[in-house]
Amino acid sequence: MKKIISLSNVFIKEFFENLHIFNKEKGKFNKKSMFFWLIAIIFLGITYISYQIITFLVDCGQPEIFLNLYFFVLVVLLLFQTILVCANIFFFSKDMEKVLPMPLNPVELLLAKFNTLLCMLYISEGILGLVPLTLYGLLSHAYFVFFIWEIFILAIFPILLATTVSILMLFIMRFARFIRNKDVFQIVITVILIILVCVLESKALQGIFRIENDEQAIEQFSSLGQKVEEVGKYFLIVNPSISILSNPVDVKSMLSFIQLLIYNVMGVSIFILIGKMTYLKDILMNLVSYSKKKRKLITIKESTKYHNKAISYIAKELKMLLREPIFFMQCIFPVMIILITGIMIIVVLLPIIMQAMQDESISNAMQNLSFNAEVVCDILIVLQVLFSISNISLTAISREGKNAIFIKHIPIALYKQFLYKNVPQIILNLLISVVVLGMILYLVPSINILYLFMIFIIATLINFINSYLMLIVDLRRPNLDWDTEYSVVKKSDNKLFQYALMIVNVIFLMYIASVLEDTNILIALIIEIIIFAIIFIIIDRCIKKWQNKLFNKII
Amino acid sequence: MIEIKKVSKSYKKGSNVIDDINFDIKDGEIFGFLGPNGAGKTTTIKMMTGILNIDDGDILVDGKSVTEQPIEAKKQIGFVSDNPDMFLRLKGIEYLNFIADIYEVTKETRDKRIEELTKEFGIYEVLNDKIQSYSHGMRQKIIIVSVLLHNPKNWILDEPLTGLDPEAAFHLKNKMREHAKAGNSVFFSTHILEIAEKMCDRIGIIHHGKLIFVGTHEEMKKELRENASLEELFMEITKRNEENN
Repeated sequence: MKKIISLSNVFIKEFFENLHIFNKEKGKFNKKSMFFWLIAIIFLGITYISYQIITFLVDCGQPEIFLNLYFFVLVVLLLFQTILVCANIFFFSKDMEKVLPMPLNPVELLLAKFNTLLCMLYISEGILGLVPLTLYGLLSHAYFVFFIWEIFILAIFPILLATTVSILMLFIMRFARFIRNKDVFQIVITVILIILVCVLESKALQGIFRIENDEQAIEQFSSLGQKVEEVGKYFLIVNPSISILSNPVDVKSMLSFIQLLIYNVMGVSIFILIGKMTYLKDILMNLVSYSKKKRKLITIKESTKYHNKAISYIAKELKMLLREPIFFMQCIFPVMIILITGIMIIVVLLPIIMQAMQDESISNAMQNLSFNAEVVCDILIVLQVLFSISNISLTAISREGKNAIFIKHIPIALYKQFLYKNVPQIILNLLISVVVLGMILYLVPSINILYLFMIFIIATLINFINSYLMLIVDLRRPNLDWDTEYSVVKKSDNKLFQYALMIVNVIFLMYIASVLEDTNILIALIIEIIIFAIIFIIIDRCIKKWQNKLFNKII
Repeated sequence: MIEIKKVSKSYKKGSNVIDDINFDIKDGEIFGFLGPNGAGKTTTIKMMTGILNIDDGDILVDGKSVTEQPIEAKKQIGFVSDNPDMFLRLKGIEYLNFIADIYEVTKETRDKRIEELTKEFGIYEVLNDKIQSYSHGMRQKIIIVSVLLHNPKNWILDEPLTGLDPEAAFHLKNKMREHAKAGNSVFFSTHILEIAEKMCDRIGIIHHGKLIFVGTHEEMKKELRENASLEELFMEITKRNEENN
């Protein structure tokens, strides 16, 4: 037991330190950490939305519907998080090679890892779940015993979810040892599980939005509540939790709680049993199969090919980015998830809502959309915000680490290398533009293609400006002395410059939109193209002129 | 030929890490660059290869200024850095192909040289593996092979023998000798004085950023004392410089 506690402590501490939310030296929150601000914004957003929904339901006399919604959302969010981190914690974490030589039995290691996973889920619960449920208790004037049950339920709620996903992962990893590329496998399995959850979620929610007025809203919330109750049966822990908090003073609550405890004990027991038999064996087999892999001899003539310098350089950049899972997860994966989620919402969820609209107000609004400078500005703001998610250019130099000196001693002009290093970010941003504009075309088929094409040109210019400026930030403030790939993004404050640029650009776009408000849309678009083209040319000229100075931090 | 002409470098105003050094590496010679830790060896090498800007003076590689014509000068150089952990996610063959593209090596030449060199250094069989699976020595070997691919006239090597197994070290030393014999120049820094003593035609000793000796081993003996090893002479000359400072 002692070993499990101390090992868990080490894993959990390492996890916290990697987030850089708390500054140990100053004893304060690290306000430079992007996680700090992300958590703060999510916390405030969730609190505000929960407050609005609860007060609405309390006014309508049906506050208990909130519990149904709350637990369904909590299950989905915790499931997502568990899927995202589970494989990494149990099988792919960097500490595994250091821990394996220690005299630990499989259960001790397994439980220490499981505690790390649970700790992450408790933090998410603290951020996403504690305040809404407390607010619900306060606004619905619940008895004091409600708040005691709240603590108990939040404490045991994630356990069964964590054990279920972990057991699933243990089974999947039985097959992983036959797969050569573990990095790709990790990403693929995460994406498959997320898509599975998304599909189940959209199936569960289909046909429940038919909202016209408050009465119907209540009706629909109630219908959603029933639906959630049905779905809850599959999650086992949802309905007993709702039952306890709906009637906290009822004796049945105790029975529901015992039911919850039994489910959790059973879940953990099965998890330990399976883990005891397979966990350590699978980790070791994975390592062995990796080193045992047959060496494939190559024929030099077939393996080499002459390429242009630029193509070869860009191909190298892409390979280094795509093959390093940490860089992939930090730079590309978030954008992919957002794009997939966006497409799913628009293609799957929106037609359901639109179909449900009896007066077809949304469809009519889409069809009769007047295309002016303000709409263009809104589209460009969405694109600008999406451009700010990825860190490819922002870490293009830092990712090289100590190898960055390579840039300086090869016979390719620094300006050209600057351009090549920007290509991956520009390609990703182009993909974002195409997807977003494609979705607009899907929603508003009557839109003039010429306008869309011109918006694409403006978006591309903004894309270039963003990528160039972020690479300049990385060149002036590179983080080259890192030991682990994680620290390239997490230990860097450069992300703040990206947020600042995003805010400046959004304000600038809004200003242009207000100036061109009454101008003909075609002329407004041409003016915007000219403005951004001039900005881009000025930045490009400056880079060319001061290329040596720009790269002088690489030594 | 590499000419280092009155070169100075400082990171802070008023304190030069390299102070007015002046020497050249002639065609057909192996030049050993020696000095204690922090003496300025790596800084000098970084200036020779264009990684660091030169504050004063100039460096010419086959008559091309590193400051004025950096691309032309860099084409004449093959540089092996002291850190072999390069592009770990690339396969060995991908890395060599990439370097060959950068230095515009033709398909026929690269095929021939990759085959020859990788077999010679014993890494032919691992070319299809990612560099991250290589040992330190193997990583060092692939860097060396990549540098030799475009057959540069001037080799600059920073601690090239560190981490190499005896067989690879033997091959590299042979290569260095052959390269110099063919009328090219080889410049390398090392801490291993026996190697410098046996291999170098001339040596340069740098201490506190100043070049305190340039010449052959024989010339050093004449200047200091006969029948002394390079190690003894090195200790004596650096100690004397310390006292003078």
